[in-house]
Amino acid sequence: MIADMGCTTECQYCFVLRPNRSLSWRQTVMVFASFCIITLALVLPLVAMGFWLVLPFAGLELLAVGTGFYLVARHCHEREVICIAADTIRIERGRRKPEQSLTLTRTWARVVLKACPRQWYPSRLLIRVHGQTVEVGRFLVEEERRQLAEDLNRCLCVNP
Amino acid sequence: MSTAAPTHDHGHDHEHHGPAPGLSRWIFTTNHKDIGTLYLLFSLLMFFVGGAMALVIRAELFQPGLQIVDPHFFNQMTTMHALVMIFGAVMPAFVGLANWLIPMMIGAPDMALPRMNNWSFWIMPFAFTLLLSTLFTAGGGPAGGWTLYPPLVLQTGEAFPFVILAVHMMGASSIMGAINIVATILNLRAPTMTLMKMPLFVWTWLITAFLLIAVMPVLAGAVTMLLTDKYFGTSFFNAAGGGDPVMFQHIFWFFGHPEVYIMILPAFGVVSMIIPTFARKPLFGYASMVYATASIAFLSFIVWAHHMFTVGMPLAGELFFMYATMLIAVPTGVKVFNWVSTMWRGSMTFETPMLFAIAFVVLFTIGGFSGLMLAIAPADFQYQDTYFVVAHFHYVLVPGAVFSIMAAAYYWLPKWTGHMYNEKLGQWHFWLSVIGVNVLFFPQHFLGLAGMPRRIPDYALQFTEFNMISTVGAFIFGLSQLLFAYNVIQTIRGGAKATDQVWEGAKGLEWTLSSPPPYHTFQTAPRVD
Ligand code: HEM
Ligand SMILES: [Cu+2]
Repeated sequence: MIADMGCTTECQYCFVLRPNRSLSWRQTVMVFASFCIITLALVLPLVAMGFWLVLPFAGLELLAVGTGFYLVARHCHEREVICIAADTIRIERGRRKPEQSLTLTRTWARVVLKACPRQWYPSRLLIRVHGQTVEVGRFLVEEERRQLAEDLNRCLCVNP
Repeated sequence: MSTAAPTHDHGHDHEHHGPAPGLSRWIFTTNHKDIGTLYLLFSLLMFFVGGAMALVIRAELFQPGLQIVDPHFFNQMTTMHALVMIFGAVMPAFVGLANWLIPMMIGAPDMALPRMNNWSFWIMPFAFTLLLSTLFTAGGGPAGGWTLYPPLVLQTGEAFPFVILAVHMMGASSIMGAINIVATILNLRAPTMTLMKMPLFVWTWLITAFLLIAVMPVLAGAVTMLLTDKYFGTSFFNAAGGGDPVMFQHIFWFFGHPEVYIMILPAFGVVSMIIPTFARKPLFGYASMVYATASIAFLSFIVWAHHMFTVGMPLAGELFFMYATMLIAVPTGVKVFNWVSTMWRGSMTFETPMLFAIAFVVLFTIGGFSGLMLAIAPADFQYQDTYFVVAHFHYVLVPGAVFSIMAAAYYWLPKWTGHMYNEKLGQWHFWLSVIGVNVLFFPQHFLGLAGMPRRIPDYALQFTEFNMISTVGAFIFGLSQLLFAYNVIQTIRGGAKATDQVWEGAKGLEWTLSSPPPYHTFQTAPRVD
């Protein structure tokens, strides 16, 4: 998802990129809880009857489910902010707050949408200044990346 | 101003991206399309391996007496055939379809956990190499039936621990696949794709994945307890030590019945996508399809002992499981009604995917009816462990699950490869399959009603004719699958270019992509109306 929000005034143009996120953290917890309840409701009676060996497998599985959902939730909170100011481009990455930040000079910046030589694979959106290259929007859907490439190009062409 | 169109730029090596060259592309891939392809091809391979075993079985049963294999090997074939087909052919095919289609259908860039996706596929070849190699160990492979009942299964030779390990590996793979699918569907939907707008294939897989996650630990625990009973002196299922072998059956079927629905719910999803396309009408009763799927999933937890009517249960138990099983016919009936109503007054055309889908509706329903007969507890005392049961589950699994997979392959192959398959060959494949499958399995109803037991290499003379017919059908069906493999391979390698829309009546996000879905996955922002 590409949004236009949370930017400081120094930015002339600002893009906030986020992956699709259709499950809130609260819902994630609820889904995980429902997996625990369903699985334990099936497994605990068996344990009570003495077939305790199902328990470690249920535990391992729930651990895997929990880890999986946690990792996906973390990934879904990723965020990239591209801020185009009068003569710099600042790219920030992070989850709740910027954890990584990089500033490029705006002059000579070029936006390249690189197709993968092999179909089936996603394209990559690169911002290039002199020899320096930064990739943005890895987690976007193709058409969002394409849209972003167009928008970035348009913004960079406007004279500061 | 430079345009935003993707450019092919070979100037900067350090920016090279995309697949690794050669074989390592497939070993290390985390791309959902690659992994989906691997799953589907693996499943096709296992379909032929399992099919070869089935032909050994049918060849031996062509006549009474022992002609081709000895009884012990025959039993290995029945056991292995079932394990390979269930865990190696049908399940991976549906996971492969999920990998290919779910991200495209919900507007996600890939699966939620791409690296785990790679592992869950690559466990499978190892699991099946291990399983198949047990055929060459001292004492042969497992021969006690896919249901692994003790104490019989404990007589397996050196193969036993390897079989259990292989089952664990398949289970781990299924669980990882299921986690990935649930996480993808719940987390990565495009903003406008609400739950009740999801295509039915996505819905049925969501519910299937819940079932899988619920029952897999039960299977893992059960087979592990078999192992400790044999090697570590426990007596979970050993009556001599105070255990109860019947409890294994309860535990196994507590997993096993949901498992059979795991194999049919995604098939319902596939058919619910194909029929509207070729009837050129929206699916009749979308919401009722979702609720019917959910109720089938719920009911599948409370019917397991219909596999055990003859084992011995209190009368109340027999009655409970009889009525609970019959209840499943209600949501199943809703589905069949909806498919038929979708076709009613549609402008239908009969391309290969639609032919397979229609055959699914008709023949799966026959399997549902024989299921209802088996659900009648007093009648089941007669049918139990006869060929009638074999006929029942093959009707739901072959013209049911397997036909839906073939329908899906023909339907989406043009989208995946960018080439149209050979329609004429597809029609030949369909007609030979549908004739073959009925010649193969319909006589088995009569054999069962006349009392021929299942899982035997030899039989009494009065069963000869129907067995011969069945074997002829088996070879027609089996050999006509070579047409399918040929058609698929030819389509991958080339052929007429497919349009993006492919099918005039097709609806859904995946058809808005070009064929094959290239680097710019969606041309315009995915919108769901
Ligand atoms: C209307 C729905 C269904 C009903 C009422 C039903 C009922 C039954 C019953 C009562 C049995 C036990 C027969 C016996 O051993 O005496 C049975 C066996 C079986 N059913 Fe179904 N069934 C239904 C649908 C399905 C579906 C959809 C599948 C799979 C896709 C399936 C797969 C099997 C298998 C594999 C067995 C045999 C297991 C074995 O003993 O090896 N059934 N069914
Ligand atoms: Cu069942």
